[in-house]
Amino acid sequence: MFRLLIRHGTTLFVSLFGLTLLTFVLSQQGDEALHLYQSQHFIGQYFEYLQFLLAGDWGFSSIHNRPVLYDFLLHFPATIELVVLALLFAIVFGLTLGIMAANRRGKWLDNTLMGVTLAGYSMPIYWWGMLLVLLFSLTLGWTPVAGRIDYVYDIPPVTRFMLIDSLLSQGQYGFDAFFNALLHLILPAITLSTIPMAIIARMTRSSLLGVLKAEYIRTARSKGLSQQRIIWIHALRNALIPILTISGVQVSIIMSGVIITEYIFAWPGVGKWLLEAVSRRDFASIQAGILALSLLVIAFNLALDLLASYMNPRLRRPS
Amino acid sequence: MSLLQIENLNVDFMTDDGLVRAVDKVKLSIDNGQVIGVIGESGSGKSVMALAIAGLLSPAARMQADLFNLDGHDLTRMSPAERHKLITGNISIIFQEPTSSLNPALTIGYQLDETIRFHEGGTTKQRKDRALELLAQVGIMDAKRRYKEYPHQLSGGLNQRVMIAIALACQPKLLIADEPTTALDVTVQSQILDLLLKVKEEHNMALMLITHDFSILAETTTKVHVMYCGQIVESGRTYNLLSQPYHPYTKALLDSVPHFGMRYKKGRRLFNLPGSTPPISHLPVGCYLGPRCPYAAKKCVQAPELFNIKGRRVRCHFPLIEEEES
Repeated sequence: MFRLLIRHGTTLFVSLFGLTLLTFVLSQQGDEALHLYQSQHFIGQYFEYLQFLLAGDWGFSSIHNRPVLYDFLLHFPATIELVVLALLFAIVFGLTLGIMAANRRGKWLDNTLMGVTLAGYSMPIYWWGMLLVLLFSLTLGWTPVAGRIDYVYDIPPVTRFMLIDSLLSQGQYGFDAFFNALLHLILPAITLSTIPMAIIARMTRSSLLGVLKAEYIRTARSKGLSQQRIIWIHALRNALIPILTISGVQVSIIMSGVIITEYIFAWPGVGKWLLEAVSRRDFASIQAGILALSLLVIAFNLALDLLASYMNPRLRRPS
Repeated sequence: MSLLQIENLNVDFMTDDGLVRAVDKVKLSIDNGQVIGVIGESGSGKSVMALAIAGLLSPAARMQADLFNLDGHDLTRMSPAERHKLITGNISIIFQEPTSSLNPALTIGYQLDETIRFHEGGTTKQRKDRALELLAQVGIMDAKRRYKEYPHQLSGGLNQRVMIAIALACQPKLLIADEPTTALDVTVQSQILDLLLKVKEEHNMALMLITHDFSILAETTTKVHVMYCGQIVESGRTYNLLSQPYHPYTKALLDSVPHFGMRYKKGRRLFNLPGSTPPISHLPVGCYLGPRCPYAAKKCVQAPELFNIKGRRVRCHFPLIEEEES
């Protein structure tokens, strides 16, 4: 476990260094300096910049006329809510579809699923998101078009996660507010999770089919175990390891998709905030937004990597 | 009474070249508690035959048999599910590569425990005791520690012992050992072999040893089947077959093994059969050994049948009997 932490710690350190260096350079691009540095030298300023970041001083947005951190804290929970749900969708449905396809290899279900996932994989999500809105929101009227919650609900921001806050204000609205928030969340999450879901489904299928050819599966069959047990315990335990690693890559796909998705659904998250900042050359906000999204990618990757290592006993306890 | 009786067992594979026959009209029987050997080169179909008997063929394979009796039940008249149940309850199999035959993501204990749970049942405590007992039986010293470990932490020999313990947990009447020692060190080989014979006695199982090493068979088996290109070319009692092979292929196999007491002479070479085993998708016409056989004659373009001669079965038009006697 210790060796594992050191290995992941090293990669974490390197990516954090690269990231902060990038945002540091960005933060110096604006018309006026973001921070007041005492050091004259570039390197000294970088370390001072790090100190500012850690102290919570992320600069001052000239557009909004308030500290960047304030806007960040306003928008960040919305994005996390959306991203986590999208990732959950992608992993749960991706795994399910992949297992179903592998189970019926070469049959019509397998071919259909693989065709559908290929279509999903090739889908431009800005177009796909609008199609979903057209069908479910405008034609069928099942879901709201935009935003996080209807204006009739006045939810006090406690955690700023709408799903949790709406549950907290249950005394006032019952579960209505929660379901309303969920309905708002569902289309953007589907839009965002389509591509990763397709990738995970295809990956699951091929990984599972590869594992099912292994000799230990033959051993498991010779023990007389049921097909369900062989797939869910013996095969999936091993097939899941590369899938988890791939899911880490999916997080970065989701992060780049989140900007456009938030824009389509008028979702008040970091992506929409960042887009606005870019169009108005607000470098302080750009720098903070990039930092936030990248930190999220790094954090998810680290968590999934650790999980994958935990699943793989050969990495967990080297002999 | 025979435990296992098989007649005309065929296994075909659908390939891009068409239907390929990997096991051709194999006939064999094993009595309770008997040890038999199957020998042949790589690709002679002996492993496929073992998998067919153990019901572990891949879906791409087609298997058919005129007779397939196991422990008094006619398997040809059963549904696949019933057959699977009967086979897994009566036949266990261990493989050449013990380490890749065990699941790398699960502990030894778990893999043993689930087998016991499936075949014997019992409470968690009972199953754990039984597992430790089995591990001790197959000669694993610190069973308690090994129980918690993963296959990659064990040596090949230890993993093969674990495989044997798992096989024993199924309480089989027949244990098929498919080249159980090929991947192991020489010193470990004999240990595993001794262990197999020991547990065979203790559990009163029959044992089918599949190998390409005559020295293993000579010490352990009562009966040997020699396979070439998916066919049994000769079978008989081990001692007779090894001391006086009737089939040219058996003789060639025996001649190609150096034996103790052989004198070194300059320029002397071990006998080797010219050519190589033909791929089963492109078999020669007639006797499959024909093109390589030093005794081949015109008649050999007709496929020979397996016939009984002096208590042996030989698939050859010109068995090497007269020559030995004259």
